[in-house]
Amino acid sequence: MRVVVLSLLTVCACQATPPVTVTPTAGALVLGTGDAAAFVPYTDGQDVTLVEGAQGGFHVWMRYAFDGEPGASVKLERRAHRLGDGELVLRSTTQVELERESMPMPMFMCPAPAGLSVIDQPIDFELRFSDENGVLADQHITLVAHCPRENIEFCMRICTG
Amino acid sequence: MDRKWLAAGLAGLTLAAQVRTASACGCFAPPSPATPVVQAGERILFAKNGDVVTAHIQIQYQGSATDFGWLVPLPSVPTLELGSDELFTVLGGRTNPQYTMTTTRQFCDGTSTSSTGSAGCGSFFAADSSNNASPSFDGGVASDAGVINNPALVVQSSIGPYDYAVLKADDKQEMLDWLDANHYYVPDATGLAVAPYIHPGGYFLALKLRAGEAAGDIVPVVLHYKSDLPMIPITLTQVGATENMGVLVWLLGEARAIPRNYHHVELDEIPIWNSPLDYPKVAIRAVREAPERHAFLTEYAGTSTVMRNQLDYPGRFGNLQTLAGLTDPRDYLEYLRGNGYTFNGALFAVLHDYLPEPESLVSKGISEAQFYTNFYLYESQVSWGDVDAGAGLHFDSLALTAEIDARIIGPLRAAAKLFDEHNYLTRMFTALSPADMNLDPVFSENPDLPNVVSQHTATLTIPCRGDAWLRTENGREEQWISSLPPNLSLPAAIRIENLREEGPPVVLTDNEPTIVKALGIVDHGSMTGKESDPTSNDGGSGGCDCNIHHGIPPAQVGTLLLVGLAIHFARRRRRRQ
Repeated sequence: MRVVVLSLLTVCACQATPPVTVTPTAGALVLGTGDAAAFVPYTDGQDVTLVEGAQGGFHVWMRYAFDGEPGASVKLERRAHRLGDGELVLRSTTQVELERESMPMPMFMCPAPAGLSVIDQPIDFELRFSDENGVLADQHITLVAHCPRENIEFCMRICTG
Repeated sequence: MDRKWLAAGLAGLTLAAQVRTASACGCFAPPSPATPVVQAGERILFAKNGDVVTAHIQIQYQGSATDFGWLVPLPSVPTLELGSDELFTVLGGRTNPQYTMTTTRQFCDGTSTSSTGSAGCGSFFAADSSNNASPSFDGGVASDAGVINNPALVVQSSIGPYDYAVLKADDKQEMLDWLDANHYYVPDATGLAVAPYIHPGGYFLALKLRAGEAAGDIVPVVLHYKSDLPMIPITLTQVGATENMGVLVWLLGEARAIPRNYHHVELDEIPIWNSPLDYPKVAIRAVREAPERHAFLTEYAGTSTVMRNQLDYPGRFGNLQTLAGLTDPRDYLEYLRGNGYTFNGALFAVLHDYLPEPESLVSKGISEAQFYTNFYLYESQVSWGDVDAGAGLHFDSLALTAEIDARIIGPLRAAAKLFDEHNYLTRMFTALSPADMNLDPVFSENPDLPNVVSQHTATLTIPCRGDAWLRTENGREEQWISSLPPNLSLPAAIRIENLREEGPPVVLTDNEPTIVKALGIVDHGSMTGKESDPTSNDGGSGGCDCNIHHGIPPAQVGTLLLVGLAIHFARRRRRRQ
């Protein structure tokens, strides 16, 4: 048996390192904020200040912490609804790498959908990860977004629909 | 300062024939701080792969090469490639709205004839570059010169006919200072227009023609940059835009694209059927009926296969080794003609440096298009030979082929690949005046929305007795008087709505009842002299339809080309003399 194992190890050692393919497993998701140094969970109903994006938009920055098995190329659906009337204000689907702790990602808020304000009212944000086997993680958080004071006029103009 | 700078966010189409100076998209570049450059349109193709947006941007410019400038705000440092005008020509042609009317004339002896006429209503957007002469380039991939001597400067480099720089948008003054120091003239009004784009993490791409290049050298630019959603920086465009400047945007994705923060209008087709030549006016009027005049209309939404095998079909371009081996210019040009190369400005631009038109022919007014297309007529007047022996110019087929590969084939293949990678293509149009350019349109998708066809049909029936009547594909009917459409004042938009990222449209204004009421009751006349059969305009079928099917011989079908609706405001690039 030892010979077989050693032989296999020898063969493996001679080949290029194969890519690590890990099948992600379901787990709990915590949504939060913070910079690369520290993950800070959001609390439900928390007030947040919109952050100016690079092309003149405004976003809520979101991080997540995941306690399942991470994996590459899973589907991430980002949604946001106004809590008051259920109106959809964000829907985005991308293929991403599911990590244990993500870098901040923008939840695109403004320019807001035509006719829908996203300012000063509770918005239900949802992150859902899934793969061909089903949902790996899904979490909601309610946040109340406000315009930054330093650019409030422009922000209000493009964030109030 | 007599420089005329056009700085553009994204590139364009031309809707105004009176444009004299420039037409492109985006930001700024007036001839003087007090005299804005006229920018007449934008034409952009967006595709998104993950978090990377690819934008093909057609720059339209009329003016001197030294006066050309272009500025685009971007959310990340872009990579640049050269694009192809042919992409926009073909894309326009494959998605232009087409209106085809079948006229059925019913005779009193029970027979009828039919004829079909069609009008392509969107072709006025198609900038046909086939006659644009534009000279040489040195490759299609950006080369980074990497000279960084200013905190605002991220990249300074060259690509094809352009010098460009990527600048941080952290500090307006720092950026403007750099532009000024490097002869990127910034007019007064631009300072305000760039303000919304000035913030940490943002970038500006500044572009200008390299020394020695002509305005005719301008080719589309392809940008790749990280971004959440495709966006047109229209606010920056207001500095030099024309009234009702057209914006034509195509979006490739997995579902129908929507204008996230603009309204959406659905055209009332009746005014178009009444006067197909007025399609541009009706389209502009429709978007202007929306609140704040912020609206797009969808002209095509459906499979991207309409573009498959259009740019890079099997066998196109032949074999480059064979081409490179053709050292006789006549054989070379024949090979190009026989293998699908489009003889347009882009090709002439490359040929110009390797097979220049003799001055003697230029002075006789022979254009480059004539020269290259009918080379056999002129080859005796071209002096070719061994350059080392001093017998004339040397035709370097190897170098020319390499440049054709980089400048013509590469960009077309890269563009063609986009249509293989994305299943869904959406074409949208809007027209904006400078005063309304205060909200940058952002585009996302809604998989729940239906396709939109670009081919539209209607039938005009001329009965034996009574007045003619029109029936659209949507079942709406209109009575024509003496075979002429009535002079009705109808809304141009049948519906003004908001499109969400899922679910059906949210209708803000529904003009359908008003339109139906204005159309009134339609009398279907009679083909046999019997009593006429009036029908209300609720989409129900009329009486004469039934009559037609009672033992009537097969209709004769003819084809009538109603109008060439090609109101082309193609770029008039200055040709190199």
